Amino acid sequence: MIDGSKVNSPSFRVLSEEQCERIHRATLKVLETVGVKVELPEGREILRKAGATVEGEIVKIPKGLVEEALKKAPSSFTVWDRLGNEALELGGRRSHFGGCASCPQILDPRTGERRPCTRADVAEFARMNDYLPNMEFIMLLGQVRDVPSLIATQVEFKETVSNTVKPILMCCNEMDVFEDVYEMLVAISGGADALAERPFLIVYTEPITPLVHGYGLEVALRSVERGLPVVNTPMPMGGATAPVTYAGIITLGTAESVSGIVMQQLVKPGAPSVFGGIPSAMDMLTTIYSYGTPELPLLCSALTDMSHYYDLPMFGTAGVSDSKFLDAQAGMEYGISALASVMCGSNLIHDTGFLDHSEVLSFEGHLLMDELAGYIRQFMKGVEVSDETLALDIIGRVGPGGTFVAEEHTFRHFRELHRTKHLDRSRYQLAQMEGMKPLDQVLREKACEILESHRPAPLAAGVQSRLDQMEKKWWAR
Amino acid sequence: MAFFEEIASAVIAGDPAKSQELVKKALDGGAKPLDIVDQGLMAGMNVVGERFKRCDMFVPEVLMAAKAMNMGLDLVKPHLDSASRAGTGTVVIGTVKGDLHDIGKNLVAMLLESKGLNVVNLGVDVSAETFVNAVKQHSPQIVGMSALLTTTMLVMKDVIDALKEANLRDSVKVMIGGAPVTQDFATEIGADGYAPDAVTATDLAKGLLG
Repeated sequence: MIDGSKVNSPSFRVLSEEQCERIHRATLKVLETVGVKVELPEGREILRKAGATVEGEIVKIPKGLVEEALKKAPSSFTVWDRLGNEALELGGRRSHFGGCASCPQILDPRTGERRPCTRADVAEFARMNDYLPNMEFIMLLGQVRDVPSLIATQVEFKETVSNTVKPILMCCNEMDVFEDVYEMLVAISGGADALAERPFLIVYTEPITPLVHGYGLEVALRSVERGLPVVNTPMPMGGATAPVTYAGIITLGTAESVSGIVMQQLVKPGAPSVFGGIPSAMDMLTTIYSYGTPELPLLCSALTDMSHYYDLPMFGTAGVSDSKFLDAQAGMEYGISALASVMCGSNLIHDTGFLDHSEVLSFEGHLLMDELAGYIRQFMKGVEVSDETLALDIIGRVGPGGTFVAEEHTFRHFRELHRTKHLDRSRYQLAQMEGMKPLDQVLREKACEILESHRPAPLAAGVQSRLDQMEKKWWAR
Repeated sequence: MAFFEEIASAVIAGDPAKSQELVKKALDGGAKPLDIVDQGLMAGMNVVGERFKRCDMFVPEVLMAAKAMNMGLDLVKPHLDSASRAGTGTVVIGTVKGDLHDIGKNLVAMLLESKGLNVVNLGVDVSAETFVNAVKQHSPQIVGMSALLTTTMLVMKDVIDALKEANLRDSVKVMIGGAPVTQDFATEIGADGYAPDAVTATDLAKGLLG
């Protein structure tokens, strides 16, 4: 965790309090007058019973209903790891980074080749993420290509949970897929109640911009009932699925995220709902959804301001680049998005280690993000000003022209300075003697080394064999 | 002729009202309908296409230009003889079943229209059966399919199989696109062409029409 709530932590905001209020009023107006399309009949019924107007699939949600529901959602909550330890404290200005174990393509860490993502890659990525000290959760998208798509998410979850103890964030829109994963979760936790008490899975649900809640909503509602936290994160794409202007993008994203949270709070008041959104703009030359553009960190930060305005945890995005390689462009886009997301106080920050606007997963990119998270952790310490840190007595003792390196004060405090694991701060002459390598190569070698050596805490043998039995059942269908 | 150049300029500037006004004036002044299309509207759109390729124009500008061209074209169409009105070809296009993404597909549709092709846009979540019926009804030269999800791209093969079953596969060329789609995948499922973006798709369609 990087705690940005300390007095000295550098912080920033994009939206003023007045701007937040205006966007909130605009959001209420959208929900009340335009409404949202809710494809799942159950979702429409929940809202209708609470006082919303239903016209076909369009639901218009009155202002009072939205504001009441938002008050019920908790401002912070804990997510646990597979072993039952506290892992994530979501809320306030505490930031947690996590990688994503599946993507349509990966850069093979051993060969450097770009190829479709397999279940073995998911297992390896989970294992590496388990090892990394600054990576605190892992996400799944259901994108592996070497198993049938109907069981991709189940297989990814199984491979991941077998290879890491860290909390898992899962993208899932199908109820039968969710039930398979839930069966595994219950087996691991030792019962539905134990799971609800210490959930180590967060469910990701994505309203479809503009203003549509698809059938995936059912997974979110069942998750809430069973005590699993739910992330509500639309992807408004400025100039394509959303207005091209920043305030319009933020308003649309807020309306989508908030309307999801309203339904969850109606189903179970006080349920852990996470506000979110991945707002960006369509690149007007290539039509890609750009992750590298400055609009992404700017608008993510603005949405984070809205999350603070609502006092809800925020799902953030950083460490993803439009570049095809882990190069200068990737470093720039990773660095700025990661620093912005922490400085604005985003909580659950995902997508680290992605390249090619989220098409490709890079092991070395993910290692760079771990290094970057450590760098930002240092930056967020800010400057402590006290008698001890002002060090006036030492300045006096050493005096003009002296040196501080051998002072006891230096000895006592030098470990507070940042130390890098992989960044190059060497002297050229020595580096030349030892053989110089660019950072991406250093990180690739390190990734392979971690994969060779790190062994995460395994599942209990009985549980592992039950999961294997469950997998046989999926394949037999 | 200066007058046609003005029409082309209105298209390039993305000014539908101006384009219509100028086309109307040209028709009233006795200009040949086919010349208005070729030397005015299409000429303008060709410039737009080139500038877009050079990164001198952006998608919203191209779309407004296409709108200006199409609105001008609407006025000329009734004056064209049936041979010229038939245009250069018909494309049936849609996003496959299970997939609701339509921005990329619509972009392709608009750019194809701007090249003078007749486009039948079936929308999103289109089943194999709907594709087959549309081919029967519109007799297109090309069927275009789009998918954004790795899970739905496999449906493209179902559509090709359904076309084969209906004995229609040989009467059309199949082109596919969408973020997860690759040339390898196109080859694997027996599509005739793959394009990674809308501009390439337009070139591909022109190529497939021969």
